[in-house]
Amino acid sequence: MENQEVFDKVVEILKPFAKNEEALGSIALETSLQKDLEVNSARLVDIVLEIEDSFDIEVSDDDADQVGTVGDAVKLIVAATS
Amino acid sequence: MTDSGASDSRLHVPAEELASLSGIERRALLFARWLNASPLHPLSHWINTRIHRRWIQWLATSRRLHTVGLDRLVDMPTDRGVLIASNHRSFFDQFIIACSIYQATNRWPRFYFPVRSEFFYDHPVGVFLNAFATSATMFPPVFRPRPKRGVTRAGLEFLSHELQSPGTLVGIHPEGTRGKGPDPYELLSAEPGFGKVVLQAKPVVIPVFIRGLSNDALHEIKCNIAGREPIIIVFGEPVDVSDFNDEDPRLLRHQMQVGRRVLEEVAQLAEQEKQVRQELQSG
Repeated sequence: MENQEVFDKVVEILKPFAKNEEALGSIALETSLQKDLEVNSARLVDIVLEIEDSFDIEVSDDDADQVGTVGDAVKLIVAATS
Repeated sequence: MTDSGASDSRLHVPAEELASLSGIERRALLFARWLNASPLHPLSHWINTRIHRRWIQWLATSRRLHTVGLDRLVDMPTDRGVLIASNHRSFFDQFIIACSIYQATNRWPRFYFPVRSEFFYDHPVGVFLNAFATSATMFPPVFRPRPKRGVTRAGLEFLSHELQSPGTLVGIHPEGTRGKGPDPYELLSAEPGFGKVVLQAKPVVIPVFIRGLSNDALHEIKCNIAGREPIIIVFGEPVDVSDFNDEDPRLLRHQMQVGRRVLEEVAQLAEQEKQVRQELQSG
């Protein structure tokens, strides 16, 4: 799967969780889930579970802990699917 | 400060993780760890279960506490540690549950209940309260900020290790935080760390539902004097999570599934609590 394809899918997953819609408009790999998109920290687990379902992968809690930005999520998915 | 040569009953925190903490957090953590592993621990446990427990109960719960199912816990044969998994509405939930258990039995010489690091590990008053009012039972701390999560992970490993021993009792709120909504019977989602401890340690998991406490200590004392606003604690049967025995404890999905299973049991106990409360109200 191409990185751009993964990125687009991640953005779709993030949409319902992001409180800052303006930040969604300029979303990039460096965009922080909590600081920029203002995702509630309690919902980060839900995002990872959505990613697991969408990409048919399994994520450990340690790997999930490393996801701070959109790029981190893309990296995690690419590593798990390749 | 490193952990080389530390005994197995201590929390092992790598030096680089300790360095992520502030000065007060580090000192509070090391003191609590020392007290829990030191030769003084039996004395601090005795103070907790014989002295602190009595004045807490005398002041706040003696005239209004009702427990259901506690006998089962007292008589239950176990070859593992016991994990008390309760709902969370009040700061005092875990204190009162522990007081009830230790009034009925003293079969667990080691008791821990992990708390969020805020206040009890980063504020002088909180550090003092943890050290002297609970003898550092509120341990290990849960640090939420990302750079400090390594210490939290070490804490979860410590609990998983301790819970493999039949002499350990651990109280955890699977929800991780207090429910603040208007419905006292509504439960939040379980935190993955709770599921990880269950999957790793395979302890006896006892679901508990508690209701009747506020966050105001003075209010609790007044209610006890007047004998009003009953506190009801319902202890359930051990939760069967044996179908997860072969699953990888590191996977988030399994951690969440186990947490959900346990909270479903807690929700069942909430229904039982409603009936008990209704019976009390109807005299």
